[in-house]
Order: sequence, then C-alpha cells, then structure tokens
Amino acid sequence: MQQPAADAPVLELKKLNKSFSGVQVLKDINLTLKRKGSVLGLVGENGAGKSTMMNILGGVLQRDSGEILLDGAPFNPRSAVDADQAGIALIHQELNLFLNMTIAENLYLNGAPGTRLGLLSYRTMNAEARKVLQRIGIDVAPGTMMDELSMGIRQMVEIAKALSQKARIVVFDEPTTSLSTKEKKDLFSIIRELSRSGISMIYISHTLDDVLSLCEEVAVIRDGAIMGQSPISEMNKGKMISMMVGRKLDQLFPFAEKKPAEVRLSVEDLCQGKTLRHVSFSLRSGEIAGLFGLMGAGRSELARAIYGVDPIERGKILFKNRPVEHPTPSWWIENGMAYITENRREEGLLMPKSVKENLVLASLQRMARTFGAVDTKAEEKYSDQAIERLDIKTYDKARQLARMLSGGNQQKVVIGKWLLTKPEVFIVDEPTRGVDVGAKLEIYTHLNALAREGSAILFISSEMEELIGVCDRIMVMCSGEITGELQREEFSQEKLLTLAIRSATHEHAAAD
Amino acid sequence: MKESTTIEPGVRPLTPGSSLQAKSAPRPASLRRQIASRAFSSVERMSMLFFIVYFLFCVLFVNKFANPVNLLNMLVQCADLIILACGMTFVFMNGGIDFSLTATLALGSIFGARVMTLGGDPLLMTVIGVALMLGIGLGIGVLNGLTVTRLRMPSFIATMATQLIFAGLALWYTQSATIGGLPRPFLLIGRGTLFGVQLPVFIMLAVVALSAFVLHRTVLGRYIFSVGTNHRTSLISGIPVKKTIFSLFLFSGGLAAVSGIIMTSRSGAGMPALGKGMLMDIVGAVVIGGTSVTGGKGSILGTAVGAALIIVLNNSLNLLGIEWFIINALKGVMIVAVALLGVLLSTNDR
Amino acid sequence: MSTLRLTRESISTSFYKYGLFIVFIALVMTFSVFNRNFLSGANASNLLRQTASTGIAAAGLVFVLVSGGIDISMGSTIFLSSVIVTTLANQGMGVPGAFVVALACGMLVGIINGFFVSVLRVVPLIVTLATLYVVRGVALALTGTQSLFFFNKVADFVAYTSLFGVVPVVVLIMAITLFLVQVVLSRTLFGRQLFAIGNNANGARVMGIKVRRNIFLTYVISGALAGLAGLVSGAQVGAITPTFAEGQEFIIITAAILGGVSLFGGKGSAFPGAFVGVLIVMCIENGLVMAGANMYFYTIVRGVVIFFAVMIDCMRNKGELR
Repeated sequence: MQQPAADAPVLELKKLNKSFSGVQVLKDINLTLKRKGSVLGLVGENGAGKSTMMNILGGVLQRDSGEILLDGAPFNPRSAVDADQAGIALIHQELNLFLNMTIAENLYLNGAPGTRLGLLSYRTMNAEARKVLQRIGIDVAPGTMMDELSMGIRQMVEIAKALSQKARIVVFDEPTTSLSTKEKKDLFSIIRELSRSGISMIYISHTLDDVLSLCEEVAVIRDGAIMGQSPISEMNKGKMISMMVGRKLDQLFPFAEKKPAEVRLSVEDLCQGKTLRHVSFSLRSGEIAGLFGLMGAGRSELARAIYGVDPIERGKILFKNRPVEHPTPSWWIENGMAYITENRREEGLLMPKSVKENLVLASLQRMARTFGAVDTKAEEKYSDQAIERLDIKTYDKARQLARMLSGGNQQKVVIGKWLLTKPEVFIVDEPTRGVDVGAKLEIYTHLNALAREGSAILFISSEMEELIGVCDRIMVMCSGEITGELQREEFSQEKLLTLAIRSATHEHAAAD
Repeated sequence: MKESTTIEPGVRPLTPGSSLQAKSAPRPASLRRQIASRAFSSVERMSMLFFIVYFLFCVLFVNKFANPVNLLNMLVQCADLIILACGMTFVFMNGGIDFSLTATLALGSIFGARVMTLGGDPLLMTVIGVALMLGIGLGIGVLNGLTVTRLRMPSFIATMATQLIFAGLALWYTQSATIGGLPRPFLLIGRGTLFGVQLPVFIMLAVVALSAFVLHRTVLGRYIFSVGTNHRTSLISGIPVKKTIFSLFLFSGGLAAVSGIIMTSRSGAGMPALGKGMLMDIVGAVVIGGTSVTGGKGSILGTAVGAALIIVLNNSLNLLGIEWFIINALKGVMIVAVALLGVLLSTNDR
Repeated sequence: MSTLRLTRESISTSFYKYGLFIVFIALVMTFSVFNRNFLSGANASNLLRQTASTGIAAAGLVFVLVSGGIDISMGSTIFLSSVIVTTLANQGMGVPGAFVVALACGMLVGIINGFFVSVLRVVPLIVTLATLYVVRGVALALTGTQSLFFFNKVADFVAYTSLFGVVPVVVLIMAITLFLVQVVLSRTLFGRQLFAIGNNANGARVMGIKVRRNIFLTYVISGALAGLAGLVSGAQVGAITPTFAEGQEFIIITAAILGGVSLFGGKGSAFPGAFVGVLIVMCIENGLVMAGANMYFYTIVRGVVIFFAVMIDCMRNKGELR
C-alpha cells in the first residue's frame, strides 16, 4: 500500500534502524505523528538516540533500514535540501543562523521570493519576512542584523525560517535551554499557534513539564528504542521518568568501599553569568563524588571554571584549604589536579599523534633535563607504565596514532596522560562516552583504584546508572545550581531525575 | 580544531566486549610492503628519495654539475637557505608563515654594517656588529610574536606588514646603497675556511643540529608539536600555548639574523636588498621537506633535504640553460604538488 | 540613498565605517596643507584614475575574502594579463578583444587557484603563493624578460579617452565593475551565500549551500578581475617591465582590509568598502608624492597602513593564533 491516503498519518517512522561503527543506535523505531497540527513530545536521556533520529528525518544522516512515510507515501531524504522541500524543518539546539546577516537574508538563503533575473528584491524579501515574523508575533524589523538579537529572538527566527520554507513538520531539539522565562512563554504560545494552523511538530526536551503542557502525545525513547507512545492524558511526570529509567541493569558496576578522608578541593559560591549560580561543594580524598545533570545544567561549565579554562565572576576555590587565586591548567597540573574533558577528540587528545606523545603530554615539564632536553628514557618508562596499568591496546605506542584507536582505548590514553601527572584530584567529565561496555568497566575499575589510593574524584556524567553504580555520593545540577545531593543509600534514578528536572517547577517544588 | 568534527552520536554502545576481542591489534603484513609503505608514507621520505635520484641524475647527465667547485658552491648556498628554512620550519609548525625573514636579513645587514664601519678595534666592532644583527633579528621576532599572540593577527598578514616596514626601512636608510669596508674579522665568518670547507657550512651544521635538538629532543619541541596539532588539547594539558607560539618567531627571527650575518660577511658589504627573492626558496624548502602547511607536523632534517633539493634544482636547471623565472615557476608547481600530497596522505590514514 | 543596499554593518562596525571616512578626510586635509594642488580638481580626477586598476582588483578580492579565503597571486595575474593583452593588441587586436582576452586569462589563473583550493583542498595561502611565482614565470617566458610597450589604439582608448570629454574610460570601467560586483554581492543569492560561507562554512554546508562550488567561483571571479586590472594598468603605465605589478597584491589586500573587508570572512563590501580603502591607499601614495617624500619611504608607510588595518580587523574578529 503505497498510495497516499487521505487519513494517513502526517509522518510515520517504521522499524527504523541505524548503527555507527557496529554500535546500534536506533532499534526498530516506530513513531507516528497522527494528524495535522499535532505536537508529539519526545523524551529520553542524553544519548538515547533522539538526535540521531532527528538527523535521519532531516536528511543529515541516512538510515540503515526501515521506512519513513510522509502522508502515507515513502520518503527518502538524501540531503538537508530534500527534507526542506518535503516540508520538514529541523531546529537544532545550536541554531544554524548566520550572525553577519539580517533576519530576512537568513530566512531566504536558499531561494528568495521576488527574485527576478537572479536579482534579489529586498523589498519583497523584507515584506515576506515581516509577514512570517508577524505570524509568530515578533515585532522586529526584518532588516535587523542577527547579531543584535537575543537568543530568544534568534530561536524565533529559526522558526520563522521553517515557516518561510513552508514547513509542515517542525522538529525542535531542546529549544528552551538558552531562553529566559519570558522568551520561553513566547515560544510556547507560538508553538500552540502553529499547531492551530495545522503544522505538526516533534518537541524534544528534557523539561518534562513543558512536554506535558505542550504536547498531545508523548513518546519515550531509551537506549535507541521507543518505550512507548501514548496520549498526554495517560501520562504524568512520574510515569515518564520511570519509562526513561526503567532499564534493566545489563552490566555490573564495580563499587568499592573507600575511606573518604580530608577535604582536597572545595568551591564556595562560584558564579558565572547564567551558567553557574552560587555553586558550593567540597571533595574529599578517597571518594568518588558524582555530578549529575541534564544537558545544559552547567556540569562541564563548572569543571571548566574550576580548572581555569573559563573565567569566574565570583566565588572561591580552595585547594587543600588554601585559596587558589587565579587557577590555570598548568598551575593545577603542577599542584596535582587532572581534568578529563567531555570532548575527547577536540580537547583530550592530539588525534594525529602517537599514543606515546599523547601519554606524556601533560607531564613533559617533569621530564626536562639539562638544556630542556626531554628525558626519553623517562618518556619510555612512564608511557609503558601507563599502557600497562591501564591495559591500553596498541601495537606500537610510538607509531600508532590516537585516531586509529578504539574509543575505549582513546579514553584510556587520556586517563593515562593524567595518571602520569600523579594527580590528587581528578575531574572526569563523561569518561565513558562513546566507549564500549568492556572498556567502560575497565574505566570504572581504574577510577575505583585511584580513589582507594587516596585521590579525590569528581565524576561528571549524564548516565545515571554509572553514577549510581560507582559513586559514593551524587550531586545534582540543574540550570547552573546544585539542586541536591544523594548519599549512596538514597540513590535512585527517580530521585536523581527529579532533582535534575526540578527547575521547570522550581517555585512549585519550593512550595511543596 | 584541525580534526574535522564528525557527528559522533552520544551513544551508549551495547555490544559487549568489543575491546576485549580486539586484544591483538593488527600488524602490518610483510616486511617488504612495510619498507615500501614507510618509504612512501610521508612527504619527507618521498622528497628524500627524489633528492637522491635527482642528484644522481644531475651527476650523470648535467654537464659541469659534478665539478668540485660547483658542488662546494652549492654547499655554501645550501648553508644560507637551510638556516633560513630552519627558522621558517618553526613558524610553519603552528600553521603560520613568516614573510618578514628577508627583511630581517636586510635590516640586520645594513645596521650591522653601519655600526661596524664606525671605526675602532676590528675585533670589537665585529663582536658589536654581530650582536647588533642578532639583536635586530630577535627584536623583529619579538615584534612578530607579540602581534600574533597578543594582537591575535594571523602571522601571514602580520609578517607581510613587518616585511614591508623593515625592507622599506633598510632601503630608505641607505637610499639603496651598499655599505662596504667591513672589518676583516667579520669577513672571515663568511669567507674563512676550515679543512678546505667554508665556515658557513659548519655554522649551518650547527644550526641544523641545534634546531633539530630543540624541535625533536626538548620539552619545548614537544610543546611546539602539540600546540601545532591542537591548541585546545594543549591548553588543557597545561602547555603554555601563547609562549610556545611566541618562541617560534624568536627562532625564525634569530636564525634569519644568523643567515644575514653570513651573507653580509660573504658579500663584504651591508646590502639593503639582501635576500630579495629568497622567500620562495625558503617556503619551498620547508614544504618540500614535508612540514605540513597546516601545522603540527614537520622535521628539521626534512627541511634540510628540501633546501638541498631546491639548491640542486636551481643549480642544475641553471646549468641546463633554463631561465630563472621558469625555474621559479617549476618550484611553484612543486610546492603545490607537495602540499597536495600532504593533504592526500593525511586524508588517507584518517 | 540609492536602491542598492549599501549599509549592512551593525552599530559596532559602523563606528569603523565612519572612522574610515574620517581617516580619509583627515588625510585629504593633511596633504592639502602640505600642497595646495592636492585639493585641485585635476588632482582629484588624477587620483580617481590612479585608483582604477587597484579598485577593480580589490573588488575581485572581496569575493575571496568574504567567503573566508585569500588570494595573493593577483599581482602576477595582473602582469600576465597585461603581457598577453599588450602582445595581442600590438598585433592589431581591437578593443572588445582586449577586454575578452584580459578577463579570460585572469579567469584561467582563477580556475587553477579555485581548483586546488576547493576541489583538492590545499590551503589557499600556499596555492596562491605558488601561482604567484608560476604565473609570473609563464608571463616572463612569454616576454623573454623584455619590456613591452603598450602604445596602440587599445591603450589609447582605455587610458587616454574620456567619454563626453569628462569621464575617463578607466574610471568608467572601475565604476561599472564596482557596481556589478556590489550588485552580485548584495543582491544575488550567490553573493549572500558567500557571506554565509565566510561566517560559518560548516553551517552553510548543513543548510545545503554548495560551499565548494561557490568557493571555486570566488577565485575565478577574483582572477578575472585581476585580469581586467591588468589591461587597465598596462594601458595606463604603457611600459610593461619584468617587475610590473610586483607586490601589487599587498596593496590590493591592504585596500580591501582597510575598507572593512574582514580577513576572517563574512564581512565587507566592494562599494563603498573596498573602494574607500583603495582611495585611502592611493591618497596616501599620491600625497607622499606631492609632499616630495622619498620613494623608499612609501614601502614603510604601506607596511604601517596594512599593519593597523589588520590590527583593527583582528580586534573586531577573533581568529585562531596562527
């Protein structure tokens, strides 16, 4: 049955599959956008497969198998332009706008109304743009430069762009992360307005309250599979959370008893614009403290601020009870802190360099002999030590390049790099991202061993299971604040998520 | 930064134990293929092969090429070029370029000569002159380094500006006249011989050894490779990124001054247009020597081979009666071809 | 205000823009203090005629710069084009032919540059540095390092004719070029897409803009206009020596950056932008001549000017440390 039927759903995904280098990311995804103007919420943890699904729909990625039906007819987008033409618009979390141009120019970058003989008509473009902008209720001149607009208005311009391309289906990916409360309200009224005018939407978000108030239906995705799609009337927050987290433990976590001792690092009242608000915590030697939060909660930003990569507006950092005035990476390394960033490819490794070069990178200063020569024997010895201790699989540490290693081995190289600096405090940000299960287990074991040897470890992650499995306690962040802390005996995924999602109903929660 | 960001799904892989299965990582197959693949694995090695083959070809087929006088002459020319190219290699390591090398030569040359011709004890004046020339080179290096690291100007345009300023200054100050009458000890630097080989050749060997030591054996060298590969990883790993970049320009300025001293001494006069037209040979030597134009990759030995190849090309083609501008064009073609080779090789093993 | 949308800078950059005119006016005033003739009508017309060739080439360079590239081979392209045009014109080629040949041989250089940059992905600085030498070598081979003399009806028409006795042909050519370039940049999809590419090439690719094809075209256009500049300057100078237009690329780049075209892509215009830049550069040189400055002093001034122009550009746009 390939005939488009009048009553066919607007969009249907059937048994969609996708894997990246042998890892299945999407498993038999079934999803239906039933009628014109319906809003489907899509919720799931970070890395559950939402973005991949969206990118397949938008023609950015190609699926391995399965079907996409648009009004009942098969749809095979090969590029972003195909999706555009079919009326599917993606609004990415990182907006795809050009700040050096005006609103109208951004709207009509791939074809403009009123173009005659190849000449753009700014009058027509601006008039059309004004119409579209008015339709979503923003009162900004279409000739305004993008870089003069607030994040909220830029978001609206993305929507306007979708509308100007006659989109029938708009996919939002976490549209509210950088918006103020007022801007968020405006966005929601626009979404409702669009829905009334017959535009269907998929709304991806972590903020469950928003999903509950906006959407007619909700689908929950977990580990690349849809756990269920049901009308909002049959849903509530608790149910969504339990569907998001209700996964059976398919791996063992090696938790080790440790003896937390003195405070190594403490942070008092750290502030940085909207990203960090009055953050205070302390970290003891011999413990693994987890830091949980959803996308945009400020976890990585906190780590970067402490490590001196990003500036701090206010607050104190104490290392071994002594204040650190101007933290810089090299100061921290000298004094015994290591920082594994979430971005292994860009900030963790020199991808086109050898395993050995990567391993010794942070401890080069200690390997200097007369005339600044590198102690090559020490280089050999230490890199061998790291390879042995972490069981890094490499056939030739001097010639195998970091980019040729598997994700797990790459991450072990990053850990090894820091081990060689003999750190007393370890900040690890998403250390198991893009790493297979076997290597994950190894990484947990190494972290345990480090903590037992007396290191203080701050384990940042968006995977609740691993935090619950490995940490002694878990702090939770939301919108730049630490919203709570759970001790090991209190751990539960529901509690973590509730703390992480709190801010949407911050006022209510306080009243409760 | 230099690694293209691919869409890496923030995904939790569920196939267990894949790292355990890959216990024995793949090894290159046969020894012969290994040697062959190594010989062609980098631009540097291919240039080395090409140099050997071409040199033999010239010895056999180019008239007057293998003449000892000619060979010695080439060696001396090599000295100038290699020293300059070593300096350029440092700047290339960060994906930058230093267009101001030839201006540094010229400025050092005329001010050094001006001071040395003031009169006084020849040896003392030589020492002062040499110190001044080195100082000018390092000073221009400091200026270039500051513009790049503090003002965040791209090196190619910053050094283009300093090139115009200092080359102009040299010409303006002398009104394009040369400054002769240099003290005898100074002339010895460029003209003296040791075991029948001219002194500059030994200076060149020292510079190559020192540069290679710094780049390939010291902590600073490691920093340079790291910074040239990825600024962000380097910063997180505690490497002083700005200081490292700054040091590159000190090397290029300082080595340009060394070359300037030798060339001034050999020509016997301060020359306001010294080194004019050498830029292409310098860039050619570095690129042909396998140093990546985007940074993070390169070697002093490669640069030396590249410079030698350039000198041999210049000399042999000249002996064959080919006009200089055709030789220049050929070198231009070679630079692009080698840069292209670098792009192809780096996308291959990605 | 004309129908062309000339102002697209934001508030922050409009300071730069007005600053530019202030600099220009200050220069004019300074030089007229030194020399009464500087403000004369004859000198103004003289100045405009002098800007023609650089203005045309700078307009071409704007395409490359806006999309985030660089072309330092323009001086050689100018030389090649003037050599070929002169040779053919001396053999009796007419005026229309001269224009076609000039554009075509510039375009050829542009195609080579564009092919290596966009298809083979070699760094533009290295590609155009190499073509700088290759193209000059080819042109010198054509002339056998002899000087050529461009005195014939083509040169007469281009350099010494004034339409209606008031508008010199060179100025007209420059005006038409600037007009067309600005129309393409600001009024066509291609032009707007170049701004997008220069701002965020990856984003442009995701949007489905044909990034590589567009970048290829920028080099073809800049080559073609350098070719046209070759015809104009060849006709004006009359004697094509082996060092003709050597180092001209510095002046062209300086003028463009001075005119607010960013080295980092995504910003700039041919008119008024690059044109004002050219005016300032020419005004400085012209003023130096009239003030009787030493010829070697020009180079220093050029260097200082490019330094500050780039410095201001870098203060507004932060690039990587390279």
